[in-house]
Amino acid sequence: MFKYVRRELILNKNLIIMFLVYVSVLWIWVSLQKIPPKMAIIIFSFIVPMLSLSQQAREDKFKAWISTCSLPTTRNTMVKARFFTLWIFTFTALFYAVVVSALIPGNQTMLAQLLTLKTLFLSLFFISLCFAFLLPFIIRFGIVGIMIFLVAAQVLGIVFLMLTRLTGRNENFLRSFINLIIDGIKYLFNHEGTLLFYITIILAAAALNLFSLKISQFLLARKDF
Amino acid sequence: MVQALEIKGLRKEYNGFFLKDISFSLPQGYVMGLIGPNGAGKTTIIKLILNLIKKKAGEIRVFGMDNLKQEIEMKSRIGFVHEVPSFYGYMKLERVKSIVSRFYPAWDDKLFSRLCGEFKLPLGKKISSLSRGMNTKFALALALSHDADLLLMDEPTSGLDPVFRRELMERLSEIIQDEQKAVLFSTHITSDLVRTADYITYIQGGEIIFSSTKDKVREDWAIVKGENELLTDEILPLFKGIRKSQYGFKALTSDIEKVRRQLSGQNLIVEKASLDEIMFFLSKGEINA
Repeated sequence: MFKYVRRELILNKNLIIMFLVYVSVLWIWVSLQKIPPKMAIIIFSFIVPMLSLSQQAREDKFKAWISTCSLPTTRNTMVKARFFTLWIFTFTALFYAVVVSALIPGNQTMLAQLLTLKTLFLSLFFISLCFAFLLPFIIRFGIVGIMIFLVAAQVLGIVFLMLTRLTGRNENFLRSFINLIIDGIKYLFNHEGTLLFYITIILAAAALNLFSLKISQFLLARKDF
Repeated sequence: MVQALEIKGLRKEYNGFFLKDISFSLPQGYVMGLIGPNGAGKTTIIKLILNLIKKKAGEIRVFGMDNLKQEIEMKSRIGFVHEVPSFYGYMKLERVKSIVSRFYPAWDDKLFSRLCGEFKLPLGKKISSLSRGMNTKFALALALSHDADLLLMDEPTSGLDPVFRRELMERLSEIIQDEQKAVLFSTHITSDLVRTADYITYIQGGEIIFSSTKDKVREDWAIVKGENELLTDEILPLFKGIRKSQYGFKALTSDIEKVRRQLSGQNLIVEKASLDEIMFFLSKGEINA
């Protein structure tokens, strides 16, 4: 697997450098705008998995799956390596974000808020959540699939909004769903950082990743190149 | 005799295409040409061997190893050259080499450097700057540098100039000299096979029409020329494809002796069929002319 991880890191070397520059700019902006660390973490959690999208865009562009799958390795190993590489990205980016925060003058308050065990755990949890959702989609349908998904989600949102207007009802499934997510995030941030809380977060993240990994392996195993 | 490649009852259905009960084998020390018109199923067979697409049924063994159960060991012994090599365009050749080489325990760096020199490959340049022919040469250098025992080549000559095509064919003949290696290459340029291939497998519409030694193909298949009046209902089934004109007919047969017997005493011309003629008549010749 590590040969494949090495391959992923070499292939994405320039992308990682670009990403780190982007994280610096984003973090400086977050500090200047005095954006609350909670919000910064949520933004950050959505951006890290985007690396995987860029990676997939390249696979699609160069039709590289054919040469990749002809190497002496299995598809299951490829998926494992992709998850592992994303976790390397995540930890690097998180560490880098902390370093950048520390270097920004007058940013000590934010750094203190960032460096709590709770914010770090929650960051990792949200990133896992995004990975778990995005990766099976990316692996099975490629970049086009993601585009279709985003467009479909947008259309669905518009349809729900129109229905809400037409029926004159404030409550609908989409709104309830979004409220549920917001309440869940609020609950996690407001919950006391007990040992049980951390263990639950770790277990939930591990379970999500494992589930997503198995789904991704199942989907890739059935894909024809 | 150890079989480098053994395929039994292979089936695949996708995008409206059917590969029907494909069976053939390639012994060590030989070159097999997989021929057939475009869309016949040549690339599908090669992709199935490499597990790039999933089979519906059948068995594929490479040096006795199941292509699914022993995938890593099997792929370690295969060198693959794709019709349109698909490497990351933004990477330099030497970078691609450094990634690929790690996957093969038998990788030979000196051999790779020598091949790059022979093929005049600019290692410091990006893949995107290479022509299609140079891309194929690079893929070939990668395939040969890990001492592959089975070379799978999908239309390797289609983007190459005649000089390199000839060089490639000569190199393939050299590769099998130690009688341990084998080469399977698909092509629709049949002239490539005349000098190099020992076995010919002809595929059309997802079905194998024949798979035998090149010599046997030359013995069995012939072009028969004669007057149109000779084409009676008893004779027609002996022909695999017929072209008729006002001057007479030209037909392909795989049973010369039977044709000679049934048309003895008639004014007939029987000539050995070239691979091009076989391909042409099988794909374009009318059968019930």
